[in-house]
Amino acid sequence: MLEVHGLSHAYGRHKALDEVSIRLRAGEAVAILGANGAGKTTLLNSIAGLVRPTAGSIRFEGRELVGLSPHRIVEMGIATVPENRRLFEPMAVIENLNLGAYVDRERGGAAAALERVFALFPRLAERRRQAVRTMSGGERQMVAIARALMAQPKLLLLDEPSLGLSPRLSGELFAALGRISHDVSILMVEQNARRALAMADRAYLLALGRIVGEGEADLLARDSAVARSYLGL
Amino acid sequence: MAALLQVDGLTKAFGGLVAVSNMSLAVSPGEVLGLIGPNGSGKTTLLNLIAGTLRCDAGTIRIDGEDVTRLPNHLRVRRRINRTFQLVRMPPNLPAIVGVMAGVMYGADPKPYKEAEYEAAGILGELNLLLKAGHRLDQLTYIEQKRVELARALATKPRVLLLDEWLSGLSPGELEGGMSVVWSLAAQGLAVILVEHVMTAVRALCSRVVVMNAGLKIAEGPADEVLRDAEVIRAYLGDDDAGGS
Repeated sequence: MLEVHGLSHAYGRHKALDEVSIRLRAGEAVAILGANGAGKTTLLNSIAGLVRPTAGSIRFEGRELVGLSPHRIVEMGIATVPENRRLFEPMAVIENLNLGAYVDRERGGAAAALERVFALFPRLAERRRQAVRTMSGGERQMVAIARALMAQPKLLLLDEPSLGLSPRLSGELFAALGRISHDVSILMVEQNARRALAMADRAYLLALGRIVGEGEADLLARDSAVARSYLGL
Repeated sequence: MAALLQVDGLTKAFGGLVAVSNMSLAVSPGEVLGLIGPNGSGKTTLLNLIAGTLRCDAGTIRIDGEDVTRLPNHLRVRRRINRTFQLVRMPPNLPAIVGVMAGVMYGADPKPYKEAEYEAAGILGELNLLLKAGHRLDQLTYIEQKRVELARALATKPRVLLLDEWLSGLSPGELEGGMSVVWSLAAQGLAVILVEHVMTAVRALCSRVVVMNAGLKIAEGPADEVLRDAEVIRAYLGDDDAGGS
């Protein structure tokens, strides 16, 4: 479904991504693990069209994404939950969610999409009229994920979805992601490697802009070298 | 040791929502107090009240015995209390060192420009950021930005430091480095309040923990006791995570 080949990106002389290749099959949940500065966010942003790679290709369902503008990529069925959430802070929850459904493909399907995200995050249904800027960090994270789901994407890109969530909410978030992963493919960057590996089918390890390992998530979770570097044992 | 920061009966309502209700706590020099609770339970609002970003409706805040409840934010900074924000609050297009210099120049022990630059460089150096001092903030990685945010707060020379999720979003190796920074600040005698969801850090750093839920204090005590409390597990930790992350 998604095929990234030889992707490179440099900020000035700093190589953020150095010939990165990853694959994701339809229906898969894939995690990307690595330290801050390893290039994880740059990789997601390249797929979303937010940064233009210096070399390499990104194919989604056979079509090249490099060079397309971000809104075209959303229309093709890829939605992003960015690291800083990027919500419309003065607007209500419901308004943020409706903007997520602002994609040609999905006009008309917004009501059903709204019902699904409210079932996933009941707290948002209770607070639908509340302005986002008055909500806590964790609640805003739920709004950001729900907004991405409103576009009814085929592929969901998640940049640190559990950041700022309480242990209990982050458990609920991964349970929710597990439920939606039947309908949508997921590519996520996450520091909570334990939870990410428990939820994902496969994972890639990224260090200094290069892929340094990949494998089945449950095998990686049991690998002692991975455990030391990524799980903090 | 006598408490450096003493908070009594702090209350704040936004319209009909009581975000912080009758909260009391105290922190001594060299102590790291953990402040945990579900998302939306009022932790950041409480920090805002203590730092003076928001005014409380009732209650008192004392630093070293002095009542600062009615003082605006910038005067509390001069009484040596400061905080970090969850997301870095500095102009993204300015060099990192400029934000830290502003902290020095408008802090509790203000210095003129040249000395402020020298001092800011020293603070960045202690946080392993000297080589990034001239980089624009938006060119720094997430973890570097978090460190600049701390440097800006430290530049004002606080004795009471409020850390709002300063350790979140770090890989295990980075977390260890971040924890030792907090540890050494406490060892230097700062009174620290740590708002954090990373339980590894709370267990390792905090002698005491205060738990909030819906604006109220629901538990207070030594970390290992509080984190075993059934109500805390139900409201905050969730069933499968009492031991983890």
